[in-house]
Amino acid sequence: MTLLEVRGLSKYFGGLAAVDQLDLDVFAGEILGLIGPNGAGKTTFFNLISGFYRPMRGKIIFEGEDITGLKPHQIAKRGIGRSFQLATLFRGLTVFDNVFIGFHLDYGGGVLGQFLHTRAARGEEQAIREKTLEILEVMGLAPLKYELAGNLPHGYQKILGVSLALATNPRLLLLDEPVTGMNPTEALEMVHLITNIRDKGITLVVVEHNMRTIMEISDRIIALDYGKKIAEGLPHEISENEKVIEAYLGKEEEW
Amino acid sequence: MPEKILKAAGGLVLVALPFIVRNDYYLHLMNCIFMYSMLGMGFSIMWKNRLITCGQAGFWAVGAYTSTLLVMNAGVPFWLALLAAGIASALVALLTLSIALKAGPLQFFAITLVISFIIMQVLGVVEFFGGWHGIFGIPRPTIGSFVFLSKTSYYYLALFLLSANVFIFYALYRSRIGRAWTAIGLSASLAEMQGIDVYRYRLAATVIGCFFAGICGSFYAHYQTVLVPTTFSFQCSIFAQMYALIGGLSYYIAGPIAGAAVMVLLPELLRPVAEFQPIIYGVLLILIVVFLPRGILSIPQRFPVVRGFAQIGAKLKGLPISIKNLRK
Repeated sequence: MTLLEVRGLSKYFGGLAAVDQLDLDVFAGEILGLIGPNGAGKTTFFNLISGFYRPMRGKIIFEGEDITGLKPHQIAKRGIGRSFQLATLFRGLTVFDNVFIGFHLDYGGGVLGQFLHTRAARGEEQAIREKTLEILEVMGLAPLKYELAGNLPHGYQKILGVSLALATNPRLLLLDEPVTGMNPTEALEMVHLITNIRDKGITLVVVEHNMRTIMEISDRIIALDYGKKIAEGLPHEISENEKVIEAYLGKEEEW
Repeated sequence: MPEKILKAAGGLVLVALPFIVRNDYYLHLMNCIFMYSMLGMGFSIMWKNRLITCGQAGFWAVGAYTSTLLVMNAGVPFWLALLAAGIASALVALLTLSIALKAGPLQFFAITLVISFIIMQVLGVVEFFGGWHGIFGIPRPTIGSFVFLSKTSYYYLALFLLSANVFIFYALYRSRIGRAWTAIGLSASLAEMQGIDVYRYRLAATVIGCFFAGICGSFYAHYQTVLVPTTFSFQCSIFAQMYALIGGLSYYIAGPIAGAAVMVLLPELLRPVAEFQPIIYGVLLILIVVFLPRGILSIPQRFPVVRGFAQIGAKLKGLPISIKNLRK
């Protein structure tokens, strides 16, 4: 089943095509790897899907609904979560508060009840506290829950970034370079977490420069260059694809 | 529990103050503190969303003039005019700042400044609003046959308005709305990613802040019984920022109150050296900002002894707060 359908998506910066006539499908339940050299348009693609950029042309269809041109908060509400390349966190807050505050979409009760701090509102808050702990437990951050997010080591900051994205209850999760800058042990931990998330039924699109990791976790890989799709296939097919090798290393004659 | 007792005791002292301090001048100072606290808190609620308003004076003026004109020209009772003042101020904010916010926080800063200037100019130039020489003989508030004349009666009115303001802000900050504001303040783009409609939440904070500036303006008008447009100058907007800054920007309720108290009482303490007053005042403010960047309310955290007590307090509550966290 197709979860996300992208058709003819384009975004130019001045004369430069960051994403150019891109057609792409993400199937429910898979981990889709997105690779390409620097400037290939991977992060721009994420910014387009999550609503930070408005596409100039093309359509984005999520679960059968056209979400092209919606604002980021509307897209988050429809079930697309996202983690940032540089761990974007609420730095002044503890790990627990980060995720707790991130649970904005879970509140169903009225504003008045919240304002008056009624029993129902307190119950709702308690439920969210428990959900927060659940996420921290799954992500292995529970022992650090009272640490300030800004004080965490880089690897944990990235994990917290993913935890925050999980707090929006996404059905599609976009991860921008989740293991970049991590040491091998941390990277292994992250791979484990990512597959765990997939096993829970959340579809993932992962952008990553670490080839070993992306080959390991992806069910399918799409390679981009100059904003265009140059290859699509299973990990081993991609690693042998001539166009991909060329994009990364340059043409043979140039050597 | 000790905290609750302390709060209750503080509240009792505030209620009983007019009977302890039987001096009209001191009560007048208290009234000023209460009034300015409300202006500062209005700044703070926007600052929580990392919006800097330079227009508190303007919205203060809208409230003051709305209430005055309603009472004097239309014979509206004070209490209704008080509410109308808040609503008028909130409406002006909604109409003008909703556009400013669309543009961004920096534009918001600039536009609040301009709006504040325009409001003062309009109040001075248009004869209907009393002109530059102002409006005199504004009626005092009444309940039935009781007229608010004494400083004591105004003290209770101001205390009531400030308490209402504090309670409403406290309830907002405690709720999910307050949490969304916190998120926006820490990182607007991440907040947006968590599904928070940053624009609407910021607009809400702005309108609420301006509503209370309007309420405060109404009180001011019927307390002074005189309105002059130049009262609502740019300096007054800056003062609203100073209250929050000196008290401590991260203390969204207590900060502006503490700051207003310092700003009102400091000149009084410097009265014996009146000719040097502005200099000492200025230097002291600079010292506070430089050496206490987190405001005077951060003093307990900065001194080891007091920090030790805070540690014990945290232990009693079962919170594992480390010294490292406290210092942050």
